[in-house]
Formats: sequence, C-alpha cells, structure tokens
Amino acid sequence: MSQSVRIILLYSLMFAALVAVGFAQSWPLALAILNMCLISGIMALGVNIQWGYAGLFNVGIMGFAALGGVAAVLVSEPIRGEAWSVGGLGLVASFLSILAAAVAVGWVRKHLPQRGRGLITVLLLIAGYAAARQFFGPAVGAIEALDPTIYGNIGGAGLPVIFSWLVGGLFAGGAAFLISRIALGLRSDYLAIATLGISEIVLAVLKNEDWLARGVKNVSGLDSPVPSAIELQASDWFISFAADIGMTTIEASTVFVRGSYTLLFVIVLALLMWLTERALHSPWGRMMRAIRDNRDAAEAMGKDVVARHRQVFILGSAVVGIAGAMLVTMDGLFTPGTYNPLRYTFLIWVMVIVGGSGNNWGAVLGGFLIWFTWTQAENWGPQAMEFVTSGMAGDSALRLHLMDNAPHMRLMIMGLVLLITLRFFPKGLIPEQIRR
Amino acid sequence: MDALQLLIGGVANGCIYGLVALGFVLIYKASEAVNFAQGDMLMLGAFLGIAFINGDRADLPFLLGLIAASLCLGALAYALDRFVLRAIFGQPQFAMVILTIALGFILRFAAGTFWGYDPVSLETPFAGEILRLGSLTLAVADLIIILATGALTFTLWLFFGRTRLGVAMQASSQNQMAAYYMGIPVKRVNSIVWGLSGVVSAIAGVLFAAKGAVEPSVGLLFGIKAFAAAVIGGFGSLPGALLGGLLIGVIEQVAARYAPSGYSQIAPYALMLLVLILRPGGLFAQIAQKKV
Repeated sequence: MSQSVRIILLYSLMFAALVAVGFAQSWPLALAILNMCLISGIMALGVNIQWGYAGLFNVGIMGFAALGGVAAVLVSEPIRGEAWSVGGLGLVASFLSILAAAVAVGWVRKHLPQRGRGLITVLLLIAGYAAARQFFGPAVGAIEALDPTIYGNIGGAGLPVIFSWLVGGLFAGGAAFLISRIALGLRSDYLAIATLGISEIVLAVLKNEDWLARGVKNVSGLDSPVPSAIELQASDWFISFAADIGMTTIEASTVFVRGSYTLLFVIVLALLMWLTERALHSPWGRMMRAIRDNRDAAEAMGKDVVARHRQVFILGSAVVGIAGAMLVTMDGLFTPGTYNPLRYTFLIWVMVIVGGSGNNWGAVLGGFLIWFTWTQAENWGPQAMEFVTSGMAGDSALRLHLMDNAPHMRLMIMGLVLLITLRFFPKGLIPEQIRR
Repeated sequence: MDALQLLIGGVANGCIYGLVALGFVLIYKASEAVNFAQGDMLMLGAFLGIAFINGDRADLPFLLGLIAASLCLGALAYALDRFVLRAIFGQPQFAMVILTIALGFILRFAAGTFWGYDPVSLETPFAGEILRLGSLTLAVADLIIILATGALTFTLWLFFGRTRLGVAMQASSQNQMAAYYMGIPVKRVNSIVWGLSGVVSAIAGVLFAAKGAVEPSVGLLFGIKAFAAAVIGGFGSLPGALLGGLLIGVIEQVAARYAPSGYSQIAPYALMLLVLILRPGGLFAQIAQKKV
C-alpha cells in the first residue's frame, strides 16, 4: 500500500469515527473532540519536529504548553493601569537588577581568569537576587492587594486574544532557547532532565506568582476570537437561522461557536503542516536527518550540529507553545493547577510514537487518534471491569475492589495502545519515508 | 541548633535520594541506559517491606522483613533484566527508555491492584521515637536511615573493591568487550547488577516507608529527583550519586523552611540546572567525554 493511500485511508477512518460520535452522541460533543484533536495534533507536530527531525528528547512539553497558556492571559486581559501605577516601577526595577546581575556574571565568566571566578559569580548572583528582592516584594504586595477577589494581577496588554497564539510561540521558544544554552551539546538524557526540571519550575512559578496570572486562583472569562454563544442566542438572525436548519437555538449556537474554532484551528494546523512539510523536504530537512542518523558524519561534513539542534528545539517548542495558547483561548480559562505531566507530556509522546515519529502526517494522525481514544477510554475501564466481574455476587469483596480500581485503567489502556503499536507498527501507523 | 536539626533531617532524606540515585547509576553502568522505573522500584520495595513487616500482614521482625523485601526485589530486578531487557539488547537506546517507562506504569498498576491506592505506612520498632541531645530533637528514624546508608555504602565499597564479582562488575562497566574477552560472563554480570540495584532500591524503599506513608505513585516524583541527584553527581560515579542525593535532600529541607511556599518542590531542579550551567559534567565528572 503506497504511503499516500495509507494516509488518506487512515485519516478517513479517523473522520468516520468522529462523524459516528456526531450521529450516535451529539454534534457539539463531536466538535469538541475534534477541536481538542486539532490542538493535540499541533502539539504532536511540535514534538515531532524535535524528536522526529532531530532526535531531541523533550519531556517538558507541559511547561511549554503552560507558557503558551499564560500568553493568552497576558495578551488578552485588559490593561490594568492602577496595578501598573502601584507596582509597575518595582517590577521593572527588579527585572532590571536581575538582568544586570546576569550580564555581570556573563562578563566575569568571559573575561576573568579561571581562579576566583566561581566565588565572584556566586557573590554577584546573591547581590542580584538581594537587589531584585528589594524591589520585588513591595511591588508584588501592592499589586496583589488590589481587588484580590477579582483581579490581584497586573492584567494584560488588552490586545485581541488571537495574537496570543504568536506570543505563546515566542514565550515557549524563548524558554527553549534558555534550555538549549544549558543542556544542548551535553549527553542526550541531560536534555530530558533539564526540560523536565524547567517545566516543573515554570508550573511552580505560574501557580505561585499571583501577580502574574492570579496563580491557582485561575483566570476565567478570557476574550474570545469568535462570537459568544450567549450573544448568538439573543440575535434575531441566528434564531431564524437555527429554526431553518432544524436545531434548537442553544444547540445551534454551541455548534456554531465550536465550528468557528474548528475553522480557525484547521487554518493554523494547515499552515504549520505546510511549513513543516516544506522544511522537511528542503535541503535543511535533509541536513537534519543526516545529523539525526549519523551525527559524527554530519559534523565531519562541516554542519554545526549544536546550532542546528538549538534551532530545531526552539522551533518545536514554539509550535507546542502555539498549541498551548490555542487551548487556553478555546477554554476561555487559564488554570495552572490542571497542568500535569501525564496529560501534557506523556500523552503527547504516545501520540507521536503511535502516529509515526519523523512523519508529520503520522504525528498529527497520532494526535487525533490518541486524543479520541483518551476521551472514549474514560468509559472503557469501568465497562471492562463490569464485564469481567459480571459473574460474581454483587457485594463480593473482589468485585468491589476491582470496580474501585477501574478508573485507573485509563492509563493502562494508553500503555497497552503504546505497546501494541510498538509491537506491530514499530515505526508508527504512518512511518517515516526515506527518499533517496 | 535550628540549622543543625534541619541539616540532619535533610541528610536523612538525602540518604534515600542517594540510594535511589545509586540504583540509577548501577543500572546505567550495566545497561548503558537510564532506568526510568527506578523510582517505582523504590515504591515496590516499600510495599514489599510493608507486606513483610506490618502486624496485619506477615508480621516479621523489622530486620528479617528488610532482608526478605530486598531479596524479593533483587530477584525481581534480576528476572527483569534476564527476561525482558536482554531481549532488546542492541536495539536503539530509545527502545530501552520507552520499555522502562512502560515497566514503571506496569509496576504502579500492579502495586495499586495488590495493595490499593490509599497511603499506608510501615510499622517500625522506632516509629515516632525521639532522641534529645541538649537542645537538639532528633527523630530516631532519621538516625537509623543515616546509619543504614553508611553501612550499606561501606558494604558496597568493600564489595566492589574486594570481591571477584565486584571487580568483574567494574570491568564490564568500563569495557564490555574487553571484559568478555577476559572470560567474564558479561550478560550474567549485568543481570546481577540489576539484582543489586533492586536490593539497594528495596532497602531505600523500606527506609523511605519508615519515615512516611507510601502509595503507588510515590515513586514517580521521587525517581525524577533521584535522577537529578545522579546528574548532579556526574552520571556514572557512585560516590557522586550519593553526594548528589545528600545535596538534594538538604536543599529541599532548607528550601521548605526558608523559601516562599510552593517553591521547595522545585529547589532540586534549580540546583541541578545550576550544576549543569557551571559544571556540565556533574560534580564528579568521569564520563563527560562519553557520548550516548
């Protein structure tokens, strides 16, 4: 079976499954799943750029997605002048002192002799921290004291939320740049632990720095790029339109809102897909594959391996950041407490591996398929346990014990899907195609 | 006094991190790959200890239960290498990574199904006992952990330096091919290293359970921090792993006391990133030149 036939067949099966959900359950649900599938596909695409193109092992996807998410808050929330007037100066001063300390450390490490350098570095870092703390504490206290039940944060830039998709990419790319300075060029598992550490740090900051995006108090009611369902339900033309297509107004408005998101996401995915495919089939893409498959030979041919790795790591992380911003935009809600490594790192990895790492179509298909399975598997565990224990007495201890554990089976199912795929399709459902 | 007390508590925690990091490094030296299920082996060791020692289970004396748990986990780890990991010997490194991650999931699920998802704690003869030295208040459990780790480290040091098997392990970790030519059964030695790592994990797990409650997902986070400890020590160095563990344990306690709340959890990662920036090969760099 040729590659393109395989792609078309698998994607048609996927959409058939989504349409089946639409008919069997409801259209708003099918569209909600489709939207999350599209976002998952974009995240998987970002990871595929890192892992599939270059073999970089990023286990901090959660952190990059959360950085994208906070971008949605910081871009779209209205400007809060009073918060800036009480604490803006202090914040800027503390950031400047950190920056000054970092520049000084950089200078010291470049120009001073080896001996005594470490001590000066430590002293400079402590001085910078103390100075930053000096300005930071009062400023943050003042900002958080303003209307803490509704705001207590510095607000945002007051721009349309759709810009945050770009800004989210920039945030995640910036974090990736910092990580690449630390851990690229070292052993490959150091990159894994560095990304993991940074993603935990990002989440800790987002959860605890209330002045930034309200921390675990969450930000809700974000600006939306599409008309809101409530506005639609109140407008006359929409009521008559809903009557024309034979749906209730409420259902029609939900379908309309989710459908508009679908349209936006499809545009983003198609654009990213076009760009990544172009990149993969360009000389740059061949160079990346050469570096991945034989690093030493590529280095001997004069390719700057670390610089290329840095490039591809930043690009991939930026794509994950874009997806993270889209996710928060669609929810209209930023909740740092809900980011966990299982959902935002492990699951995305399963998507890439099941779909086919190194192949963009495969990674996106993996995103669709695994998200679909993940949402549907919620019911499978209890159903399976119900079936297994159906022969037992209703109150037998074993049955109760097994039913208690049923919700934990969702992860088992994901592990099973992973193992079965690796056994029968070791290169994924749509494997990478090497053109010679 | 306050600082000293904090330090001792931190060192006790750090001993457990150090032992798990030791397990990482042992397996890394044998299989040239990171075992991402190491934290889950600690969890399993803790549950085995509970199953052997607690009054409502097997009700063995503490020391006997500790030995039984470490033998069980050692045998399990040996079997894992013999029957599962040897099957993918020679495959790309990533296969091993995915396999050990999947193993972790399986162990977590198995422990949850056997022993439930509620936290349980170990009944020890020294639970809750406190030693007063002047103005110092020390938990006996902490002291026992420190002593046990010291004893185990000394035993391991003797084992690696003085026994034929220990020297064979060193040889095959340095150059598998040369060791093979010298008549060392490298494959079996590697499996024994896995078993040894299992024994160390079980002891760490029982000590861990002596300090607090255990539930199936406890190994995940613990394993990640121990991995950070191994990185700090310079992957591949046994004393480095122990030292990295101690550093992580102490810094976590200090951060829990002095840093703003919510940040103590990330102090280990911050320390690790600092070490990666300033001394990329770790504190005891000995394999910095080796590419993986």
